[in-house]
Amino acid sequence: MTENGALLRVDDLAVEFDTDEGVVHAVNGISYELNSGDSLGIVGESGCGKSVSSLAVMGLVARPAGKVSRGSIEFRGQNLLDVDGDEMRQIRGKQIAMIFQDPMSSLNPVFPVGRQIEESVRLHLGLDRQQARAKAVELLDTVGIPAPDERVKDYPHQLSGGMQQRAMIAMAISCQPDLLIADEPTTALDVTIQAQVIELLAELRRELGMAVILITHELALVAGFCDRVAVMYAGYIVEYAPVHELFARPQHPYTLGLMQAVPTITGDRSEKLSNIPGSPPDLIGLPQGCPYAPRCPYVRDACHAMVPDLADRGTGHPVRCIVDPTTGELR
Amino acid sequence: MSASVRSVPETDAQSNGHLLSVKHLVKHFPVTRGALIRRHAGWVRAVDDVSFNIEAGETLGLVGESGCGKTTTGNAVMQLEAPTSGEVVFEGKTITSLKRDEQRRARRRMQMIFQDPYGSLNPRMSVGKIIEEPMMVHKLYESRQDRRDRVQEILELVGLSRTQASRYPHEFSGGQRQRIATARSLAVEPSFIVCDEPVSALDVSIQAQIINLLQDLQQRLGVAYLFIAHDLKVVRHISHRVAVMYLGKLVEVTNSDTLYERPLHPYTRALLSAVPVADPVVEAKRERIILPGDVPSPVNPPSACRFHPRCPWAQERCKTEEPLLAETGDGHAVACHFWREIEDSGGVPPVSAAEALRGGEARGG
Repeated sequence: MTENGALLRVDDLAVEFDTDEGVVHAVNGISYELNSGDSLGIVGESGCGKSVSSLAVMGLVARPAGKVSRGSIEFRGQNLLDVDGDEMRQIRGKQIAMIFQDPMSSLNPVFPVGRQIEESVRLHLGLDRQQARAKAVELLDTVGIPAPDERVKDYPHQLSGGMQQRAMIAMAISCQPDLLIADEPTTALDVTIQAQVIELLAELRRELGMAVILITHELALVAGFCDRVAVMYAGYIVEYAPVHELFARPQHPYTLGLMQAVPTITGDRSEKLSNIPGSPPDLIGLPQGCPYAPRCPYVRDACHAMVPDLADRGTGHPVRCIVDPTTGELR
Repeated sequence: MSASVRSVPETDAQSNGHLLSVKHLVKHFPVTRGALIRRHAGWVRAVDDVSFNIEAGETLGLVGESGCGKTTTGNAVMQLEAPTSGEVVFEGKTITSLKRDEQRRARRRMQMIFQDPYGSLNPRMSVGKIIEEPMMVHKLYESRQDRRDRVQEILELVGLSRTQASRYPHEFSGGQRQRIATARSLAVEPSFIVCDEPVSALDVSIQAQIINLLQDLQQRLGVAYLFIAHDLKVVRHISHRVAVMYLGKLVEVTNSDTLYERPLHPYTRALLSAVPVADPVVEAKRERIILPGDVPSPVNPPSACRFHPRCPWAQERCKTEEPLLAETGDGHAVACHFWREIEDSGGVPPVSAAEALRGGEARGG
């Protein structure tokens, strides 16, 4: 319980899955730190390891196929990989909570939403039935669900997608967690509802002082929400920077490629989108060298030899690349 | 199922030179209750009096949130679902009044690309066969060899290699499959393609590839698109004009270049402000228009202006009198009673984002 230490310190975390085709190297040694109240964005495309790395933090990597093969996850100074199942259950939901992309499949369809929130507060906070009901109503109100004393009796299917996600958020914050992991929380929602949910998360983060990890494929979403951003590709963090720094001076060719591949709402329409050729690598037989090399416009011979380090170079903006894309020269 | 009240077109060739002209298109689906004895319980007003034109070689973007009727509009234009009423005039022919086989012939020049590149390709057919099939259906080429040559040509056109004709869909990635679907649609030399969310199932780096491909093909072949999507950024980028749809109605039609600079309808304003911008400096300064509540159900849509329950500028008149889509000049059209007043006031909503967040309704309709 170090008060001045980091809330969460992930060090050299690697996760792999055994499949019939071979070992899938989903996460290949990622490290990051999060202080209380911080918000970190983890950005990348499908299969980059952004979700799996966070499931590992929650102790939810599906066994026996999946396993954390190395590294450590320190939460309040305690390595979560060493704690047993019972202890982990105490931490999960109470101190670290998670919300997922699809609220409908995360909620139990046969119980009213209120009862599902009550379950968590009775378990973790030791409230009795009546207190738990009052707490559930209060929580639904906090997340902006109107007429919460009525809605508390609703089944998940009676709520819209946006309301379901709010109910999930209510459940997640029920025990005032120190850390909330939001895995693509708005991807299944419409844009105007996405704006509501992101606004709500930002507000709750301020009010409750909880740290948030926002996992998303959409770079623009982290721009308004996060303090720091980690960009992931093929199970590696390829760039890690404060949000202003990342958008002002993107340093990794992949980050740059992502930024230029997405049309902007204000951009010049006559300009063609620059696309990233090819597709992401197969995580089973990752080739030696930088995993982005086959798609990279700045590729050098040296890139195929080994994976470059996530090197800081004294800028506070570590990048896993040997070429500086702004000049095209070696760093 | 439903009694179709189809208006009889006076003459053919009412298109006034437009490639495609959609007039007062209506599509209602019946809602039934009961398992054994089905009772009619109402109508889903999926598309309600929608009119627009598309010129040759042009892209019209159709944007809106789930359930707004954009996909149904696309299907009704293609005659995949018979419209309840209204007319679709394509290349001078009123296809809504044609007989089935005539419709099929007319439809050769109209094709469609779907959202799901996994579900829209037959897994048992080789890619070559998939592309060849529409040519056989429409009896386009005399000999098999001609068709095969054409398949190879089209494969190269969409950025695949000739040798891939013998492979099967499961051997391809999502982006490549969308190229195959595009190739299939091009096989019969259409002048118009309905693209229904063609990139929304793809990763961002792959999205750009398909968007660029569609733009390239338009330049080379002069094909027109109805580009249906929920992502305003993508729609604005690829379209010449954008039509914004809400609960079965078009609320604004405008030039893509003026869409961001001068949105007029409150819903368009809210949509634009909800799109995150990839710039933390801009994001910190932005005042969001947060709409309260959810999109109401199209079964019993709100009276008059369907947007009024969520509109920060709504007034009494909006609840009683439906605003019609009216030209404001320069091809810009909007369906709002108060667009002038809103524009004059600088477009700042009278309700703050925080208030809107708390003022939501649990369920619409």
